[in-house]
Amino acid sequence: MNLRTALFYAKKDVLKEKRISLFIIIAVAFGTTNVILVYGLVEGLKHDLTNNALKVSGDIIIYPAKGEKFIPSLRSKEKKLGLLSEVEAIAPRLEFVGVLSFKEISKPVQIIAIEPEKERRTTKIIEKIIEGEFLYDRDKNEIMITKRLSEDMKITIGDEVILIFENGARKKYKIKGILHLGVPELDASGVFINFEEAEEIMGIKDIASTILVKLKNRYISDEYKFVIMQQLSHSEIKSWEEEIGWILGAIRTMEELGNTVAFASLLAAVISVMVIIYINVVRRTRQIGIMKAIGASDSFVFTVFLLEAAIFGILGTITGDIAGYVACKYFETHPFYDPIYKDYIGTRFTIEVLYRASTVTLISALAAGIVPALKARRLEIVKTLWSG
Amino acid sequence: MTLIKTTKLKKVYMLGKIEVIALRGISIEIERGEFVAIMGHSGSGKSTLLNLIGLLDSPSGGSIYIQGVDTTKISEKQKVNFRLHKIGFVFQFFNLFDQLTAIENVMFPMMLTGKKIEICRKRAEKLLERVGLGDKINRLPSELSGGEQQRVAIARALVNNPSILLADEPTGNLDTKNSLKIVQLLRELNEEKGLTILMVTHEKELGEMADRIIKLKDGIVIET
Repeated sequence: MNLRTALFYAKKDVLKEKRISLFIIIAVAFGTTNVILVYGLVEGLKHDLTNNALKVSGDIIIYPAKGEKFIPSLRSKEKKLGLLSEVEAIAPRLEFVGVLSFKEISKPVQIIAIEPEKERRTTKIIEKIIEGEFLYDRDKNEIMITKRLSEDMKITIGDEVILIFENGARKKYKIKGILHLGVPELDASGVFINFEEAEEIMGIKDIASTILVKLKNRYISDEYKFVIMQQLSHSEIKSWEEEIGWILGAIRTMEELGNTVAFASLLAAVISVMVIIYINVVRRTRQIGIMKAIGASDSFVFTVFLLEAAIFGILGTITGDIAGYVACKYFETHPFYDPIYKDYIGTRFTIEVLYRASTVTLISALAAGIVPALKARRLEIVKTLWSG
Repeated sequence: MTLIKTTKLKKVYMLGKIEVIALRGISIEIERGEFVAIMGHSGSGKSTLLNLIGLLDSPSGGSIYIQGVDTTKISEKQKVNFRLHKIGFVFQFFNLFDQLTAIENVMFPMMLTGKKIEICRKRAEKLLERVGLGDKINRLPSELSGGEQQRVAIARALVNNPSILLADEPTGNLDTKNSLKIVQLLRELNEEKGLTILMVTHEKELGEMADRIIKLKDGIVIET
């Protein structure tokens, strides 16, 4: 079987009907672009959620024992952790529920008490400040809130708000900073106050809701958590990979949704390719017979029509790749606004996205060519010569 | 020397549940270099005989020997090779590939053999020159007259230098003047190259230009 001649014939066939060929290439390109955008969107979400979650959390997170609300003996645990060679920094947090009031508006909030200096060394939450300043250890009467809270309650830097704690205590605070964390559950209602201030108001001492640990090497977290478990005689400890497990689970769901959307758009492209090539086979029945009569084998004829599908697939994929790249880059800088999360969702273009979309489209286009190519292969010479 | 020999060749078609006997045991011999016209009324079995000799169809019984090889016993792959290298076809409706130019149409069967494009192009140019179309090699079939298209088809049939040329009503779609020119061209090729030609026709005048006429009626030879 002569592949060069098959390609020669297939190329001529594709070029003969320029308009129809252009239509198919656009259909395939549209499918590819769609796939790139869908995968790019999932990739963007995955990247944002994972990165943001990692930036506001530790490499290892210590939780209270089962059935407990707090971790006791915080300071002694901090000392023990400080003795471990791989531990770079530690930041305890206290978490309560509360209510934030400003003018006529009150909203339930999640109060997160932090030690600002330790937090600076352990997490990258300081990078999430979009207005004002991050807290210092000395800041007793100032707090930070999330961007979403500030928008919902129309609070700006310097405004005075009232924070009501879960024990009924209420105190006036000045807004020092506004954060955009990129973690939906925190962005919805996060209020950050000083750790000592929270201890004082809640009347508690030497306990924490979580202890965030920064390691010298993040990638040993899964193994190193067992060292910490042993050191603290405490088993409720998670690595960052376990911590973002819920995100990965949510992303898997999004990926499945993305696959469904990609499948639907590709199906349209595949059907276009299949129908057009099939019509071509039917229209050229007599020509196929002549081709066989003058010495072309069945496998040659099969290859010709499969190559036509491949040409449509390759040209459509290349066009779709370019359009998808441009669209992805555009939505990276002009993200969609999500009115539910009140946040922007951007796409993220990666080579993997391009590779996945291109592979899926090319395979689909080739698959679309198989049925008409098989029909062409099976045509009997004499019957085709009898056809009109 | 006998080039083609058929013995008790039979062909039965099924049209739904009805059995149609197209050939009822044809035994003929064609010598190398002969120009033979196969004549007969519509439905006499002329084209069926040509299709069987050209290995486009399989017989229901009997044998076909080409250069001493019983082609009823060879594999499909060998049949394809026979069609490609030993047999050239010219059809009534020209049947050129409309997306290919004249020269590309002629080159195509040679390209199927795997020869280099340049060699195919030179050979095709030479053949188109021979059939009088040297100045129209880059025209599409739609830009050529019926007679010119049939000349391209003849050049295409000859490109792989076959020993047999099978022509099924090659003038069926041409006017008298062009018909005579085409059969004259076939005659010349037969004499120049010693090409064995089997031509199906129902026009007596054209048949008489051949060395010999085989007449068929109802699937049997009535005159040879």
